[in-house]
Amino acid sequence: MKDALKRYLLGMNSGLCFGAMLLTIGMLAVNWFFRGVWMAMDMARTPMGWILEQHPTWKFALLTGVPSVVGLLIIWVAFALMSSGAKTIQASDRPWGAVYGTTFFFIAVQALMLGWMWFLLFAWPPTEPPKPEVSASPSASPSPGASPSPDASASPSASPSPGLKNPFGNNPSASPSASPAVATDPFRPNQPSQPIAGMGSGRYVEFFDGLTLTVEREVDLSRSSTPRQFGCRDGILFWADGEHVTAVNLTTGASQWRISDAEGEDEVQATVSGLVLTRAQGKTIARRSSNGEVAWTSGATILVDGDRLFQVAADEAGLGQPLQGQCKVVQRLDPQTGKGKGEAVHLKLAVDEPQIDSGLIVGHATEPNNFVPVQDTTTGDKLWATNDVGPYLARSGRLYSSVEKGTVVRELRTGKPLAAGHTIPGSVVASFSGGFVMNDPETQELAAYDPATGVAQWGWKNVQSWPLTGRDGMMLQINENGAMVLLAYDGKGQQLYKGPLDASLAMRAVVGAKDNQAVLLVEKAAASPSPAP
Amino acid sequence: MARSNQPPGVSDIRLLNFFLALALWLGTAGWLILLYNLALPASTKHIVEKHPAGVADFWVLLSKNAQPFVGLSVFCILVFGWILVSYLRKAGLRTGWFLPVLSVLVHVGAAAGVLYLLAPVLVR
Repeated sequence: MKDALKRYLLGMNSGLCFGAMLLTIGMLAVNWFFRGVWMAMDMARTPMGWILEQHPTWKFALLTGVPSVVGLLIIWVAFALMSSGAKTIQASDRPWGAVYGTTFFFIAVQALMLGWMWFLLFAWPPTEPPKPEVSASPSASPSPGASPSPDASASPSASPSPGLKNPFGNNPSASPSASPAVATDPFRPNQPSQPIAGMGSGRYVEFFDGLTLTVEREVDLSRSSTPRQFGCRDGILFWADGEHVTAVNLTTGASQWRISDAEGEDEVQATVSGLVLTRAQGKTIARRSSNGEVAWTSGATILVDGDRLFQVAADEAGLGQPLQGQCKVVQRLDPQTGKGKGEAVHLKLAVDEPQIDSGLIVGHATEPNNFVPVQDTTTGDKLWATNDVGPYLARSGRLYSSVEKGTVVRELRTGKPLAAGHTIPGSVVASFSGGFVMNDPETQELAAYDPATGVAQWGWKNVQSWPLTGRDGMMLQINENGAMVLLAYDGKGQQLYKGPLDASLAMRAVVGAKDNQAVLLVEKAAASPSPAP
Repeated sequence: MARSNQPPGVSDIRLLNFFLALALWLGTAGWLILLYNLALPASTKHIVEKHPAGVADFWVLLSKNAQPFVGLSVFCILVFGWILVSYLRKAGLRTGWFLPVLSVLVHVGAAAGVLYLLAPVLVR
C-alpha cells in the first residue's frame, strides 16, 4: 500500500474517531445546557415514566445520567478504535476492516444522537384517538382539528354586567338566563328535552381569523347557562349543565358524547391532559375528554396552573379534602389518576386565598404581619413577598397587586417591578402574555399596557359591558357614534376583528380558543325565537 | 467508470465517503422531519403564553406553513444531496476530513438549535 494512501487512512481513522468524540461531547454539552427541556417532559404515560415522575431526582438522573454514561462509553470506544485502527493501518496492507468499522461507528454515533433528540417528541401528550361516544348521539364525529397540544384550559372568567366591577373577584358568573324557549335538544333531535323553568336559548359563535364574525354553529342551549358551565379545548366545547355533561365538536357542531347520568356537575373547572374537570357539590370530577368516562373524583381543593393540577391543604392529613383554614401544604396531582404526584410540599408560610400560576403559589399570610408571599410549589421556599396586601391576581407570570392609587405589577417569580415601576391607575381586567388591560374607574376607560414600559398602547371609551376575556384574547363591546361595535383582540393586543354587533345577540363569554379562533358563547335576546331543530 | 491509474484502495475510500455522505444526508433529512413533527405541538397557544416572542413566532409560522415547509425541505435536501454528490465526484485524498467535520457541525448545531427553540416552549 502506498504511503500516501496509508497516511490518508490514518488521518481518516483519526478524523472519524475525533469526530465521534466531538459529536458526543458537543451533544452532551448541549443537552446539559438545556437539561430543563428534558426535565419538562411529562413521562407519566408509561408505568416506568409514572414512577419517574414521582421522583424528580430519579428522572433527572435518568435523563442526564444515561446519556452521560453512553457518551463516555462512546468516547472510550472511539479512543480504542483510533488506537487499534492506527496500528492495523500501519501494519497491514489491507486494513479495510478497521476503516469500514470506524466509518460505520461514526455513522452509528450520528444516528444515536439524532435518535436521542427524537425523544423530544414525547414532550407532549399523545393525540387521543377518536373513540365511540357514550351516549346515543347520531351526529357524533371526531374533531378533525384536534391537535395533540396541551393548550391551556379554558377560562370562562368574565361575564357582561351592567357596570364594571372589581375584576379581582374570583370567577364572576353571569346570572342564568330567564328567557323562555321552545326546547328541542340538539343532541337528541328525535326527543324533546325536558322543559325546565328558566330555560334559555343561545348559540355558539366561532370567530374565524378576525376576518368575519360568522354564526357558525347554532345550538339551542335548552337550559339556563352561565359561562362557568363551559370549557373549551382543541376545538371541543365541554358543557356541564347540572344534569348532563356534553362534548360538542365545534367544527361540525355535533356532539362527541353526552353523559346523561351526570353527578350534578354544573361547572367546568378546566381541561387538562385529556381530561375535563367538572365540579359538583364541592367535588371535582375528572372525565376523559374523549368519551366522558369518569377517570377519578376528588374532594380536594384543586388549583389549576395551565396544564398542571395541584391540591392544597392545611396539613398532609388534609390532602384530598377541601381546604380548611390556611394552606400549608401543596401537592402536585397526576392528572391521569388524581393522586398525589411526588412528595407533598410544605410551604414555609401558611397562606389564605391561594392562587397558583407558573408553578408559584401566592397567598395572604398573617404571621407575623400581613403580607403576601410568593412561594415555590416544588420546594416550598419563599421567593419574595410584598406588603401590598390588597386584592391580588397571579396570572401570566405576573402579580397584580391592588393598592390605593391603582395596581402595581411585578414579575411573579422575582418580584421585579414591571411597567417601569409605575402604579397603573385602575384595576386589572385581563392579563395576556403581551400585555394587560386595566379599567380606570375615574375615566371609565379601558386601556392596554405594555408590561415592560407601563405605557398605554390602546384605549377604549364607551365600553358597554364588562369585556369578555379568555386566556388568549379579549372581546368587548363599545358604543361608537350610537352604534354597537364588537372588538376582538388577541393576547398580544393585536386587533383581530372590528364589526357591528347584531342587536339580537348578547355576548356571554369567551369560552375558549382554537388556533386563532375565539369561541364565543352568544345568547340570543330573550324575545328571539329559538333555532329550528 | 473504472480508472486504471487509481491506486488500490481508492475505490474503498470512495465507498466509505459515500456512506458518510449518505449518513449526513439522511441525518439532515431526519432533523427536518423532527422539526416538522415538533411544529404542531409547539405552536399551539401553549407557547403563546411564553417568551421570547421570536421563538413563538417561529413555531407558529412553521405550523401555519407546513406545506411550504415540506416543499422547501424537500428542495433543500435535494440540493444538499446534489452538492454532496458533486463533492464525492471531486473529493481527493486531501479533503477526507471534510465530511466528518461537516457531520459534527450539522448535528451539534441542529441539536442546539432545536433545544434553543424548545426551551421556552417546555420550560417554565
